[in-house]
Amino acid sequence: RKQVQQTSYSTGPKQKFRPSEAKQIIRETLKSKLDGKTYPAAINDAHSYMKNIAEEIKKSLRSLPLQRYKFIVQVIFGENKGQGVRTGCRCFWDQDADNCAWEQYQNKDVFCMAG
Amino acid sequence: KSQILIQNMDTLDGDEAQFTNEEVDKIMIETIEGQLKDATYEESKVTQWVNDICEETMSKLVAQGKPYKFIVTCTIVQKFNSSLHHTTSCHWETGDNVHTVIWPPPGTRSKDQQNKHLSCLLS
Repeated sequence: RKQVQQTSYSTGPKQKFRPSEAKQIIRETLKSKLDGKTYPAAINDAHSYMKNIAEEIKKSLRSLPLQRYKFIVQVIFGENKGQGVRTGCRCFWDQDADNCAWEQYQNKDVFCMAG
Repeated sequence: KSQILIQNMDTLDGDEAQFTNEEVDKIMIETIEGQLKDATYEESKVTQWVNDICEETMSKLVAQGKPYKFIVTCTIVQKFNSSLHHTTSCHWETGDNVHTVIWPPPGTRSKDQQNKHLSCLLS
């Protein structure tokens, strides 16, 4: 009699990335970091705002129960002067397992997009 | 057919399978200049520009045949005497990379290269 051994590797993630969850996280982070804030006068302050936001979002995403996923968080931040801004994104990945989530925030002084 | 495919993948080792910064930079700048050289910011055209730049960059990167997934983001801003900041925070492994290009390149003085109406950020 031959013993049949079952394969022990998985070809896909056990739990998939859900964009709605990520959008919620991003929205809350942007709101908590930028509500009532004005555009900082010093460039270093603007840098640290953004780094803070990006790190915070990445940390929250890593705390989700998603194994073996890589995360890329992009933050675009600027002064709200009524100028036109347009962002587009194209991705070449595995449609079953990979996804993206973008959110934007603006108040009268600043705008921010994160995804 | 599947045997030939496997052979092709085997020939990509270490260095060949990686992108150099120069390669990616060249692809990105060529694409942007092709679309935006001498252009003025126009609300009606900007969506098309963003789409075209993303599509073209993506197809050129994929055509290199390297074993990577790609994410291309393009932002076009109207020049309005304001500043824009962009940051990327990543959780990945060694071998993965991000390359960002600003156009027109900061510090260019020649009138040919400087576009007074818009800026493009491609990563």
